[in-house]
Amino acid sequence: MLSAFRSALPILFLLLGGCGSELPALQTFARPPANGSCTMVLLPFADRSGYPQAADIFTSIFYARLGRDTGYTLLPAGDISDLYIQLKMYPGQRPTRDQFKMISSRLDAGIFISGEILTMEEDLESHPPRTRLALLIRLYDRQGTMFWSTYHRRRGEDYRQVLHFGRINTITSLARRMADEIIQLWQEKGLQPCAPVSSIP
Amino acid sequence: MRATTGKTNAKNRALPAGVVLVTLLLMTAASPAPATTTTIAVFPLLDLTRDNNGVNYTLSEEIRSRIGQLGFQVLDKERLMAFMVRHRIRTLGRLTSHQIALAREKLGADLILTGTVGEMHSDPIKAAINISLTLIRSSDATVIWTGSESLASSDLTTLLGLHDPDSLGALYTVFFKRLLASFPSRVPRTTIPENRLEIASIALYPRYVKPGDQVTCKIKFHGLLGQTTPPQSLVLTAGGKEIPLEDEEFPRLKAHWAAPEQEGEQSIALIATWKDGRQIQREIGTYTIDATPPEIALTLGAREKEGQLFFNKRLKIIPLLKRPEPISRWQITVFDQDGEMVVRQKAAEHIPRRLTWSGQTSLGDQAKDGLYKIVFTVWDRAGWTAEAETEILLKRRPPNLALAVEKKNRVFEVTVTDNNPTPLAFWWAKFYAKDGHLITLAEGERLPADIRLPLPDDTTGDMGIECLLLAQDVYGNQIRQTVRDITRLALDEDEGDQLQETEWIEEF
Repeated sequence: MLSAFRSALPILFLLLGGCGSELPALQTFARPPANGSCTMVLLPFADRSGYPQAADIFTSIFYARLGRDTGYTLLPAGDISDLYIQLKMYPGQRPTRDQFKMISSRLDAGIFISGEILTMEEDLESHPPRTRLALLIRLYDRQGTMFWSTYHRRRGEDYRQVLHFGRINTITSLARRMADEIIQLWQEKGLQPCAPVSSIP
Repeated sequence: MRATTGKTNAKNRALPAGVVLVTLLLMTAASPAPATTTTIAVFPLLDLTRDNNGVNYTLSEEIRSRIGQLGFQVLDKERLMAFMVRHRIRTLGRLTSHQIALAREKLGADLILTGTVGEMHSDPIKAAINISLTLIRSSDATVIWTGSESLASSDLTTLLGLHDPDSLGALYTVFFKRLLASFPSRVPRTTIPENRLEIASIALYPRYVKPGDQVTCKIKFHGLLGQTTPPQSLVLTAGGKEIPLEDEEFPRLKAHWAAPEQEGEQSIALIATWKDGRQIQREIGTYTIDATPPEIALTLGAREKEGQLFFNKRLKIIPLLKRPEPISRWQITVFDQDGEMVVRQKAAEHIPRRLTWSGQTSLGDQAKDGLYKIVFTVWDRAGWTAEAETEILLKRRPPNLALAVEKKNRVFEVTVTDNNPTPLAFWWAKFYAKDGHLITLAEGERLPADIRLPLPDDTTGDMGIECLLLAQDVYGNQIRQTVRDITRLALDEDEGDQLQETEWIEEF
């Protein structure tokens, strides 16, 4: 019952998020696991937008931004793809609790990030170019319990300052910018960086 | 432009040698070249703008060239391609830890660079590019740097439009400079972990078992690389108890065991122990022991007469699991009175909420009236079966009415009979004169019946008495007949010619 309620909450949150609340919006269900960011696993995102390769494009950009000067440690993307194949899961499929436990054990994972691309649009023919992106990201601990959920939605036009300056003209630029905003929010809300394990000579 | 360059060169030539030396030293110190030569394998970029398995050799070459300029030793392209073919690396952009370790072992690569092209438009007006890169240290498969950059020609548009980029190539200088701006010049050191347990595949089956059923687990490990040593012991546990291994030869493991009596889920774990005492435990999977067979009930959407359920058109069959659980398959069969199977239908997974039998056999024939046995069987995921059966009477043959008319003086004597043995619920007969007025109405619950039809005194010639006849049996099967002129029956004409209309009345 509780898990069903938890599953429904992000959807409700998403709907409420569309009513002018501040974005990106974070919904918390529990505290992030300590040292979880030392082994973060980015699960393949699901695509609900219909944009060609939307999930793969955003996943690769988000992965790159997440591993950049954040102090988070990411596992090689191929390891999770390989496990998905071994567990006969299709990309974008959210693992069951058992699968979460198994993946955690196999990869020594601390935090799982999964997400859905709700909208991805790019029209470079129009003047000015139009871009739109909306997504929902969920964070799970190694037992598969969701502790955070983040909803974000933006248009390239939202970043325009004066004349055409500031406006984001491509969907990948928008994805990159939104990924940074989400990561920044996570850092502000207490997703601690991983303590360094390697020494730099 | 040439004149400016010439001036600059002239100035350079005029500089004292000491200043040039100091400048060179400063430039060397500021350059991001690695302290020692580090070999980097730049894998071809995955091009998502083509499809989810596309490759972009042009941009891959550009990256290779620019990484080389940073002072790294870039691995030979042909050697890398041969390695990918040899080790069947088909998916670009994301390598597994094992593939990374292989690249270190076979190619001597200290670093692995993979990447993805997320956007590329070569149209001059809407030129745009996006590349995301991941740099992995091969010794411990750690991601040490990532970068993602996007740039469009419209991003570089200036107010006056001077020097605005007019092609994709014109973006490259700015784009790659930004993309590789934070590329590490030094690689953080690490110690190579000696003990690894890299599982290539796991087969655990069946996933749902009855107590005592055989469970099999097969594990295949990746081959040992470099300094890694095989574990001294490998122990497989189920529910905390050790399972004897059938074949302990690394890198393959196999075990068979009988599922315990206790119902519930069991976790399988693999514990590897090395000589130095280091231990690694990995969850292999889970299987479920199901000790309880399912229970199923059948409800029929049918009417009842004297304790016997019957139907005459469509029968609704509602199967219901008393304790809902996922099932693997189900089957419904219908047997006639002789025990011969007339219907069989089966499917996998979900039990239908409702089935409807329209009284046809699996061959498409109409089933005969009679008693049938319906058997519904389910198999759950562990292989337990449950069966429910019930009887149903199929009765759809309507009453078979016959009319006999005899003229005696000025009276027509009409006899109505039913040749079907099924008891009737009711019948009625209406006789109309040629002008449409009702001559008489007769009704009852049993047949045969005699009806006397007195003729008016002034009746002459063609009387044209029409008869409407309706009968319904106790199972609801109804028949209605119309005889246009019963006087013709009295003239011994063929009765069949007079039955102008015979039809079913659909009333359930």
